Amino acid sequence: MILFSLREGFRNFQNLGIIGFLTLISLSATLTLGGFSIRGFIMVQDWTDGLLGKFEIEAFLDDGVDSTAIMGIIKQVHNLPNVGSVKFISKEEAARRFAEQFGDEVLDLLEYNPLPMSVVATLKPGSDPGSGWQTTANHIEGLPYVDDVVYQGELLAQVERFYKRGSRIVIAVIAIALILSLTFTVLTVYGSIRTREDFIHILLLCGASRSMVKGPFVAVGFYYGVVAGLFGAIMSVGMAKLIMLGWGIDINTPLDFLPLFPITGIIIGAAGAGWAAGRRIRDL
Amino acid sequence: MVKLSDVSYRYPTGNGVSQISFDINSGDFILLVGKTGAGKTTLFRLLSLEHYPDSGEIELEQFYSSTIKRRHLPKWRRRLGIVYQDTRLLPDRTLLENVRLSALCDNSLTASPKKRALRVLNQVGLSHKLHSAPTSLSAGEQQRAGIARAIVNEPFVLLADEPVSHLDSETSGEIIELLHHLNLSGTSMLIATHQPERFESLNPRIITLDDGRMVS
Repeated sequence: MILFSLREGFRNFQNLGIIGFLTLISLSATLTLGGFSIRGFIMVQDWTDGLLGKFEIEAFLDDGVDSTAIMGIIKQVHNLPNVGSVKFISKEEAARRFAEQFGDEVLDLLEYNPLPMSVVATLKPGSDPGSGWQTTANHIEGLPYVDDVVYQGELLAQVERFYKRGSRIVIAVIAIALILSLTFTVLTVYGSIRTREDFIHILLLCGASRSMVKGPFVAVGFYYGVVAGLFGAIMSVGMAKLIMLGWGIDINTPLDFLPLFPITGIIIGAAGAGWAAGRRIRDL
Repeated sequence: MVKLSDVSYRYPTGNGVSQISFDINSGDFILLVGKTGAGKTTLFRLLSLEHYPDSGEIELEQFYSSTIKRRHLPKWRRRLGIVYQDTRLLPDRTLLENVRLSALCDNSLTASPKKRALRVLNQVGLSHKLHSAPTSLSAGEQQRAGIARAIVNEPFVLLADEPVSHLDSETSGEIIELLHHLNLSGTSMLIATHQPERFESLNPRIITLDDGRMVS
């Protein structure tokens, strides 16, 4: 049955002129676009990850907090979602940092160390900036012995907005491309069925099961998926490399995701073709 | 056994058949006689369940037209072999491929589809034309190929729609002889024709249709 479907499907695949060509183009374009978008999204994600890894929330503690309370605060901050690491900065360490930045004159003049102890939380790399850093900061501010919290809120908000917009654009682009390629696949299979109504009619009246009649047309989608997947893989990797080199950036493209192109192509092609064949053949 | 009980069907245009009742038993040779538009082709479409009766019932072995499930339609159709007037052989494949395609539809039989196709092509006298395109065959050979395709799944009854109407008398005599031979080997025959005199020598049972009704 599978051999029959593949053999007859290949016959259909060969005989589909202009509509078939359009399907191949649209499916290849979808996969290329999808590949580009995902590649771009990964690049943006790497960039925001790197950026997020540098963000800190600094919580200044009340004077006179004992070491047990400090340990408790560190533990509570560490357990918060999105918090990657927590570092305690003692009054002495704060003074040393201050001196490094502004010199020792001010502290010498004061003759005492007015700088507070603090706890510095760093974001986990790969954490979603949209998942409530404001809430994390508010949570830290609400802890006992925490006097004030300082963090780069506006910058984080910008990254968050950029990230969200990027995600929406990628999803929209892929969805539109997917709808287009599914539409073309469905039209191709409709066309293929129309040109082979005699074949279908003979099969049905000879007692072929519906799956046997549908098989060759689903196989058409399979073939389109394979070919478009290969095109998509070559285009995505090759074109991305060319564009990046044009901008003077040498990107290291991982190749282990390449099988995803034909697999996705086959799924899109076979799903569209199966749906179309099911609908048309039911009416014959 | 095939049993039609008060079967009626109307097309939206008003044509069709009305209250048709008859049985087809094992070994029967039946001629369905009538003018063009009398309802012969409609009756064939009803028998193959391309159309379902508006009323009445068709019984084929354990199945009934009024209750048969969609998934059992292939089983129903495998019990019928259909021969078309225009043969409907697929022009883009050889004779052997045409018959083998039909054989592939029934995998319940023990012999492989190819073996069965070769056997029936030999039976109808076309073993020397296995790799010929249908278009390269004479009208008589095409009709033989159509018959081979119809009998490859060992049907209970062969439905032949005007199998000799466009053939010369010599070729039609050969086809009638072939149908007679197949009937003697156990396949029931229901043959639509408007030339019953060509089958006279076989002493067939005759069912006459006129304007969609059985008149004899």
